[in-house]
Amino acid sequence: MGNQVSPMPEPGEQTLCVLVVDDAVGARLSLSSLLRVAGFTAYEASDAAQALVLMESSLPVDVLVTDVDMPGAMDGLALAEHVRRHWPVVAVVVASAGDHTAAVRDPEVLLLRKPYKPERLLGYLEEKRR
Amino acid sequence: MKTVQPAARESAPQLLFVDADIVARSVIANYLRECGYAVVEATSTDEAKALLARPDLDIDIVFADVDAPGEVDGFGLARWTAEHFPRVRVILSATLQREAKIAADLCGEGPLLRKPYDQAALLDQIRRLR
Repeated sequence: MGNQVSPMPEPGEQTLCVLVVDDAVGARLSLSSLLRVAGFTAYEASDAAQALVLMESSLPVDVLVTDVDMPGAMDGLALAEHVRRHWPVVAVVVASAGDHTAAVRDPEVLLLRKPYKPERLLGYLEEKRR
Repeated sequence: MKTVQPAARESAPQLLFVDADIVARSVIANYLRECGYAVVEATSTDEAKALLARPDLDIDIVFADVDAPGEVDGFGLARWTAEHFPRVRVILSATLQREAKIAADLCGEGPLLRKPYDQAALLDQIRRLR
């Protein structure tokens, strides 16, 4: 094996890679930790700009989970729309305390109203893992 | 003669990794997790301070980019940590090469006492992914 590099999942591996975007570090840590314990790979971004840097890298991302209210030029709704348009194979979850049902018309986007039960998100991700 | 295995700690050492570069941070954080560290991630020194102050976390090591954004830079975070959490070990890095070297060294002395691969391969992986 030597120095063969295999720490990060490659596309096609079973682990599902989830990009968590939230400017609230506590919330981001809680969700990322939960996902890692559940066997997913979690990447962490504190705003849309960081998230897009990761999306444009070669790291595999299967699911985006984003908060809505974030600083920067793009909020979570705009990020979700951008990712759906440019990476249509990436599943998108928007989690917010507010009601954004009217703003999110894309039926492929899962809207979660905070506080939501973690089982709801984990169940959705398990479905994607199959 | 009885072979003494490296003792696994009751709980993994907690390492706070502070870097705004999401690709480098994601790859290095996962590398350190593979070495047995419990890694929490911060994208700025402000986030790092908030995480250090959390009573539910027990950070052993702060590993930070000197240019990390925030109210203070990495040097300022080191001073703040020494003042408020004097038992926490702080390691600063100024370049990606140095960051990869430190991560590999931390792996060598980490709970599993092994490196998945060396710093050159780690650095190469980050560059390939960008």
